[in-house]
Amino acid sequence: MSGPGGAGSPGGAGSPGGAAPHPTEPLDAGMQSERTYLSWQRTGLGFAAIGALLLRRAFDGHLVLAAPGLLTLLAAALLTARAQLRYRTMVAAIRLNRSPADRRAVTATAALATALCLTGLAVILLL
Amino acid sequence: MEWLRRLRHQWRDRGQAPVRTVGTEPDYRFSLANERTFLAWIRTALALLAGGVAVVQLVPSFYIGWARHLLGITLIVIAIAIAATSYARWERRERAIRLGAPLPPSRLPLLTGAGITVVMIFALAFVIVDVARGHR
Repeated sequence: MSGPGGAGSPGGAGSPGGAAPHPTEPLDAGMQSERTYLSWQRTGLGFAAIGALLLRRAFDGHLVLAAPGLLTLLAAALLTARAQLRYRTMVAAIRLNRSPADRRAVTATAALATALCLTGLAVILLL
Repeated sequence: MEWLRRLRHQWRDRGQAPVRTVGTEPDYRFSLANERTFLAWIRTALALLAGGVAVVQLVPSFYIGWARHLLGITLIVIAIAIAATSYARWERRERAIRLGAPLPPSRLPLLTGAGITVVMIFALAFVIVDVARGHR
């Protein structure tokens, strides 16, 4: 398991102010990248919990829910794995003074959450 | 109906420049804070969803038969409202950050707070009815 590394490494090339930082100045003051990375992880865990809930219902005899349950667990795993990659690209973008915004990840997460909520509504209305 | 008006604006502005090209490259801390706020809303929606499913499927029946469904459906409807508007909210804020404009206001905290309050009041009422009727 490769943990995130190097974010707080001193001597980064860029700082938001634009001036070259002091060699011992951390690249990422306030640990913004770590906090965002951990936030993605928590969200991934949240999706995994919902996936587990759906899968448990599937084992209770509602086999229809096996597919959404497994898909949600898979999506949660992908999201968590992607958070690692994203963390690195984020740090790289920050070094280059580029915006680390990732529209696609946000779109996919929002779509997934909406689909899950609708599934949840269907579950309590129909099962 | 604020959200409806906003949806209509979103739809009308759908042809506008992609968010990555407007304005200037912002301070990354603002972008990341925006992203974390988005994720916090998503987690809120997931928690409401889990609560809604749990109240219907795990909580024993109240004296009033439809009580659990009322609570569960309301919780999940709030979750859907949050999840379905989360991307638009993120994008609107990202745009404002890049343009150096003031952050657009949001009604969602008010709506979420009010919705959860209503659910709580109903839950309390159902419990009181149970106690009064000697249910269980």
